[in-house]
Amino acid sequence: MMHIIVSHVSKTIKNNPVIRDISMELHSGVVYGFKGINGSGKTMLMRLICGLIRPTQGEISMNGKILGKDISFPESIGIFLENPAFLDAYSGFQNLKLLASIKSVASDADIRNTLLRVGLDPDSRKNYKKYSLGMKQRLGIAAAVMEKPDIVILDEPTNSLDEGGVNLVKRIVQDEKERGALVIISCHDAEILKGLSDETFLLEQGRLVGHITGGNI
Amino acid sequence: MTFFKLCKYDLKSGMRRESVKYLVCAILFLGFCVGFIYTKGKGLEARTFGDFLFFITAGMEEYIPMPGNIFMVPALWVLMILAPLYITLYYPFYDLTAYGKNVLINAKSRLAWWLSKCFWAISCVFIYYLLLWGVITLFCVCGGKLSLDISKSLIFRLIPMPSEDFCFTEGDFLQGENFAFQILFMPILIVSALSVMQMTISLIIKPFFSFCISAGILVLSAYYLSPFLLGNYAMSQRSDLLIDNGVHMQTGIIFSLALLTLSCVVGLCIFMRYDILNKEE
Repeated sequence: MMHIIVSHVSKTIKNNPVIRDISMELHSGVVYGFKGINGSGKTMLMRLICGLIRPTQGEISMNGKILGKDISFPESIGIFLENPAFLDAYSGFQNLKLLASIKSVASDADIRNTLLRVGLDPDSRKNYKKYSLGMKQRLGIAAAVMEKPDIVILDEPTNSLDEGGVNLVKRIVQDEKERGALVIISCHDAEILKGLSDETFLLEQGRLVGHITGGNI
Repeated sequence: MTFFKLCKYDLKSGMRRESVKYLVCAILFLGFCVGFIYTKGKGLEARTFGDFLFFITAGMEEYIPMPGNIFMVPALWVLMILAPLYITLYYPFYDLTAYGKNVLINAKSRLAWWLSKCFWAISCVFIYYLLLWGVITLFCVCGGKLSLDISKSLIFRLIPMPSEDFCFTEGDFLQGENFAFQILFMPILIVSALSVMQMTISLIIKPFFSFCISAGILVLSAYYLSPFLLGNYAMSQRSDLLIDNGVHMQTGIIFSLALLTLSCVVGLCIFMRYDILNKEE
């Protein structure tokens, strides 16, 4: 079980406040949607939860452990941040294998299954460089979920995806939720977010301006 | 354990990314060696491995500012040192804004990530010099001598006023064991220290500007013969074994190891609180 507490978190970058006094509580088995226009702070808030950036004020704790003090990064997390990048000269399978070699949690079979789940061929020798935007997006999603993490963060996962791809994201989010993961997802499209999230946080200019439970945004 | 896995990852992805630069360097080395044969190496009794290496790492004699004595940057020496510094310049930050973000989160350790990047930078420098040694070996095998001895006549060509101690040594060659560390390992040590320093500075300013700082240190080192300017220790021509007011190798070793350690520790302190953003942010 994962329990995240974001407590009065603010972040200023180059004298520009990007996150202002945000507090929220997040639990396992729930899909949280972050909604807001570009520059509203969705991606920054996700980066704060990932541990990639540190709050200027406030703190984020995960099961009682404070991020940046007790732990550098969440114990078990899979991320997909906007425009994921992989190694150009490697195939999708090789890229995921290299990533998996750091933690040694996912086996070759897990990687193959995950690639199949996102609609990519695990046996394809095609280099990442030759992937279409949609394929790159799918590989990024595969990287986020392949190790079955406790927290899954997906930032604009439906960008560059066709209808089939969007349905695939919906299915993956649902699967992750059923597995018991805490899923955070951001999306421009209100309709898609409505269909995916159990709770939605509305962000505007770095502030949390609304919290909606249920499907209506 | 994580550290070793990250090292393996960095060696794999970093080297692959920089492989073209190494190829360009190998071509440059060929050019330098040919250049040596037709300039300072012309007419030498036997061109040794030590001769080639001494020529490439020589640098310049002490510059004494006075009317009519124009300062000329020792281009070959500066290029030889700037090339590995350029090779190690961008990868850590490219990695951090791309695939490396996932790797860092998977590794869960900023300490291991930073140390592996330091290890990668030092490895890159070492491979660069291995490549240089390889190219020189080729030239020695095809018409030279595989020996670390340095022809005294070459030293006299490069250094107008060597020390008396050197002048009175017997034989046609400066024996390899006296100077091997200077020509083989001092450049590696000094470039490694500069490379990690550059990486640390790049956490604060853009990598290009930290590269400019490294270049500035090298040019200053060429201009002033001073034990406080690290570049002097990488110039074989300024060793106290060859000139009276030269720099002492042991001091250079201590100085470069201290800079390497300090850069590594300061970089780590900065990186522990470093915000990982996209390039444009």
